[in-house]
Amino acid sequence: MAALLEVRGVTKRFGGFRALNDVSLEVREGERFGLIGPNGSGKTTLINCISGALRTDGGALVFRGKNITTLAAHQRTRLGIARSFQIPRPFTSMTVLENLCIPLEYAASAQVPRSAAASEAMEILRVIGLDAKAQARPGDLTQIDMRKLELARAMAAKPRLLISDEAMAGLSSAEVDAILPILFALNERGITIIMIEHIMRAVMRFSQRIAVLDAGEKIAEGTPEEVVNNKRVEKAYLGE
Amino acid sequence: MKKTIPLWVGLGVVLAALVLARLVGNRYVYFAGYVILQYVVLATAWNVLGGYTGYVNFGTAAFFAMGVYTALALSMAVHAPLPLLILAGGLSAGLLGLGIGYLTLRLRGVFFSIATLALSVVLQTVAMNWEYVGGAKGVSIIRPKPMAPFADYAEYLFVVMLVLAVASVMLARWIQNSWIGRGLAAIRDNEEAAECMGVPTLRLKLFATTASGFLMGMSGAPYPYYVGLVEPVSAFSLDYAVNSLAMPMIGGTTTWIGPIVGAFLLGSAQQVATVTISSEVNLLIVGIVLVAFVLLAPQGIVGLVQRLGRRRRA
Repeated sequence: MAALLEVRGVTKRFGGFRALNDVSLEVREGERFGLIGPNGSGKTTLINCISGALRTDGGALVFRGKNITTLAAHQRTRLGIARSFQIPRPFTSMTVLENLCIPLEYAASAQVPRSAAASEAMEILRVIGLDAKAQARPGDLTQIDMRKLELARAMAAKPRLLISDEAMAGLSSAEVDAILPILFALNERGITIIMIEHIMRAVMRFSQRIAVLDAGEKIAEGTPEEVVNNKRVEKAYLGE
Repeated sequence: MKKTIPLWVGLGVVLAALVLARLVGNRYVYFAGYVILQYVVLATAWNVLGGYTGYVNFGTAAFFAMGVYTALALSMAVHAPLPLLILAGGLSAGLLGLGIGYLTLRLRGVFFSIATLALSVVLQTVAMNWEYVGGAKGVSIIRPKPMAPFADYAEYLFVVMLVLAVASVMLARWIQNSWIGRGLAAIRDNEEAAECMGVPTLRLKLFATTASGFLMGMSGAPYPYYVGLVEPVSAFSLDYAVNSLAMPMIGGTTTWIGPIVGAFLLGSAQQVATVTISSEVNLLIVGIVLVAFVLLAPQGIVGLVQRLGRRRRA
């Protein structure tokens, strides 16, 4: 399988602190990729570098064979990289349906004509299971519906690569079981997914390959079994 | 056909206002009407940036005065006709808006507001020291002769401002209902999320600051002929900044109707107060009304009406 996203030696500094140090990894087309690591290991920083919210201080990012290192976030979204936020950031003044129209009109205008945005948004809500709440305001949604909205909005950008940043943090195990099938279904439709998650049960079940970050460096990469049995990973999580 | 409806409504408003003003037959109507309409433009322009996009501009006076001084200088130098002065005033203030737009890269929230206030102070100092246009003591300017069909120049200025007001409102309404307006609303709600959803945030913010500045500058251009004497303290008056912010807040910031409602209510209240009590009481009125609205109806009058409508249906 060809690489959809290549991260080549990416470094990110905040003042004197190296949040990411020469991190390299490859995500293949159609893959379900897990990204784990202890708190503060640089997972979200890496995601911010990939999505364009942060500029890298070294290294390169290549998406579908194109160097995207210097592109603005909205340009990367148009190329097919969409993300959900760890803490949901809905457009609060709009209805759930209108929230989806923004990425449809701006990021996916090449795939979906602007006049069809509303009907397409409704279709995505149906897939995610939020169609009953289409006219609700984000402020009136429950936690789990808010997470679904976050995923639905990312979907509306019509991505090739979806980055799910802790979409399940703080949810009960029954709620996790409600979100996971959605991500599996999206993957089956051909969308490559990078999942960042603290809930091990979910990442292990979901991912085909996993990379482990610790203190800004990649310390392991492989299938879930390989990663679990890796000594360095064990040390990073549990200490000596 | 449907697309031309706003245009016909706009023309209708212009004609109706004109007939009404003629019927009253008192020249003061033109003076008071001019000020209120000027505030319709300013409040609408402020709202494109402040209400739609969420960037609060305290520097309305800077953009307004940019239009005033551009028109004044051009009029003194080459005796350009008023429509040309208005266009030039709009362009120079629009350019200023474009510059301010780049500030939004680094400054958000209250920091952006402070920067716009500072801009106003800086430009006022420049105007104070610009001898050609009179410096601090100002310069008087003689109105051109009225032309047919207008009986006097005040009436002509009134009509010009009326046209500007209708045009601004139509532009604001178009922005609000287009995909650009939805992009601006996304920026207001959450700028990071908007950018990640494909919204070109910088380009849209530059559009908003430029359009807002352009309209403000246009409304300032006829000012020299309206007052006859242009001096920096009046042209950069804090009233412009406070009123153009208070009017949309009172009317409601999320729709194009809000600033009109606010401008008419507050603008006419101020005119009445100026005639009956004193012009000094104007800012006091604004302050009290604004505090009352922030406490009782934070969504403004339009928001209040919408809420009542929803309750009745429910």
